[in-house]
Amino acid sequence: MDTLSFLHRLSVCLVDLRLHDREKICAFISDALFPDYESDDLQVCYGHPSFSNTYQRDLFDIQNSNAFFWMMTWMFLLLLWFFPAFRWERFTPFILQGGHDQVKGGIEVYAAFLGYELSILLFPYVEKTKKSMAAIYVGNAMLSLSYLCLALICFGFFSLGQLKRLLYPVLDLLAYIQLPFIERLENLLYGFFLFLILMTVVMYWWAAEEAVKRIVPKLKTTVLVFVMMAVSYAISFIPKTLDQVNVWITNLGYAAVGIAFGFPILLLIVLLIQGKARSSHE
Amino acid sequence: MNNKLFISMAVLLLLTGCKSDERILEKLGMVQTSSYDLLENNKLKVTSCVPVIDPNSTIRRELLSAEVDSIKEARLDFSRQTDLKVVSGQLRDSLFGAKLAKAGVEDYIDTLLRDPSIALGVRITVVEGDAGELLTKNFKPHTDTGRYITHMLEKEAAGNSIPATTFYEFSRDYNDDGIDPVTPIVKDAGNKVLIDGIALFQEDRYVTKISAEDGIIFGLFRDDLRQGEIAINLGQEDGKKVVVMFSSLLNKRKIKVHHLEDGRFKIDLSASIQGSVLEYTGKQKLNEEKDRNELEKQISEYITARAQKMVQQMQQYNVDSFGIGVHVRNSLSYKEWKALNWREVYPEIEVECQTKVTIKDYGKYS
Repeated sequence: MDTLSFLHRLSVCLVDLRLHDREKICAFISDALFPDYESDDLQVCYGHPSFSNTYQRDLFDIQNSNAFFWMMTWMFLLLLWFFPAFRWERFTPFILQGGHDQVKGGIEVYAAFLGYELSILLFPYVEKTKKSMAAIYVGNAMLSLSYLCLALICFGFFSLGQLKRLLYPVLDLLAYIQLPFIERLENLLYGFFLFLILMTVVMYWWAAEEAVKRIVPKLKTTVLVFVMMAVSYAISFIPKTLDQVNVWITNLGYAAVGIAFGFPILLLIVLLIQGKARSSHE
Repeated sequence: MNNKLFISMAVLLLLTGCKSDERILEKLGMVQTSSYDLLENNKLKVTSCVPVIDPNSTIRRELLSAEVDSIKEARLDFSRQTDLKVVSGQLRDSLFGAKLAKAGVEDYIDTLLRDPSIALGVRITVVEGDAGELLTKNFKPHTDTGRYITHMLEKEAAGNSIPATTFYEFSRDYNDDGIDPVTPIVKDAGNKVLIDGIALFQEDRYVTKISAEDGIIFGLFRDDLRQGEIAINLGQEDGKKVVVMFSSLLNKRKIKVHHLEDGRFKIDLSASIQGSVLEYTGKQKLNEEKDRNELEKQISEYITARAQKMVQQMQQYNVDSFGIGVHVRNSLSYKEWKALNWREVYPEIEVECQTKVTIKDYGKYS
């Protein structure tokens, strides 16, 4: 009887510990991995590569990003599944051969790395420390690393000719995984990707809200957000076929690349003009 | 608070949109094995096997068959034959009749790969003879021939005596330049289904096969292996047959491409095999190093000779099942490879097989 009650108490304690210390454990692990950064920093910035601020807690729920961070990172472990079928021979030594327009392709690929430009909008909210900038870099580095891992696995797992024919290689990668108790994981795992998309969308909506608030300062924020969401939802009904969607994504990607490069330059020019105007006044 | 409740109720209403996508397990006919045959009149005979879930039924499977022009057309035909909704998400094995495989399977594989409900893990198997007939036939004590074949192939592929060939491997090798796909062949052997060998494809056409006994040797020279067994017949000594059973194989395959001065290639195809001896009926003493080395040499000579013959056969039928072309490609520059017609060059090149055998242990008896 005594042993039982002891065990019971122990298990309760353990459960308690698990619940309470979950965040501590998370923090511990990320501390161990990246000792220079606070765990929250990392998790937030990985949730979105451009987002890196621990101080603006009302902007984004740290707890959520914690959950999202682990929801995504564990999926790296799935890549281990492809090692047995991985062959370096399939890479071929032909680097940048037989392709089409490399500049155009480069810009299209570049769109996948976008998001960092949002950090411009974060400046007013962030304390100007080295750490917050470093968090942006870490966020982007982790994103790049995940793309790199995925690309390497794809090239070693699929043959080049096959890769050219596959429209959604990542979907096929996930479909290949067969655990003893579950198959066709891709249907399940794609749900997780939705969370990542949600984070990205929310960040862009926030950025849009920040900008539009300056243009129409009188509008109430809730109304503004509602209108923006309604508009972007309505836009999603315009493209009817998958190919049209791709055209939209590509074009919007170009636009976003333009903003990412053009916006800072525009700001610098404005600053220059301002400075000149000021100095001529004096 | 009331507001929140209202909103969550309204969101719940969105779920009604899923009604059109409703799938009830009992009402689904989940195809597990499908077979495809080419008929005399150029029509396609599709036979699908759907397991019966009803525990009260003595029949374990329902067979659906249709003569159609395309695979997906067959599904429409099937739903006119059964009260179940025929779906293909549980497909495990696709059996292709030899006639169809010889005519080329590209179009059919294309259809099956295009369907997002079919995974890359579906097996491709060639059936010597009529695949539909094999699938329809009952083999006691197995209640479901399709599953029987799938499990048998799965088990054998795990032991590497036949290659594991799913859509992933097939389309990978088919779409790559410098390697040709392979699949296992099964046939009806009266009261059993028998693995007959390995079908070697040229592009998407089944051209020739190698026997099931040579399956493991084929495996040793196609890829690195981590498991496998091979029985080697070393002839006779004093009127007694000498057999070595070599087990727990660990294999490292290497292809080395030499560029000869006149622009030709010479290929060194080598396998370095480790394993344990489970059975030996000859005279050598296994616990003496000199004898063991002698035995290793005999085994390696045997394997090399068989592999050399296999390469000859492949070159004769112009199928590059070992993937020698991949390594030749990787040894060339992009321009040189594009200028090279591998199909023309391949039958003429010199391939030398080498085998290095190491006996790791010889059981618990000296």
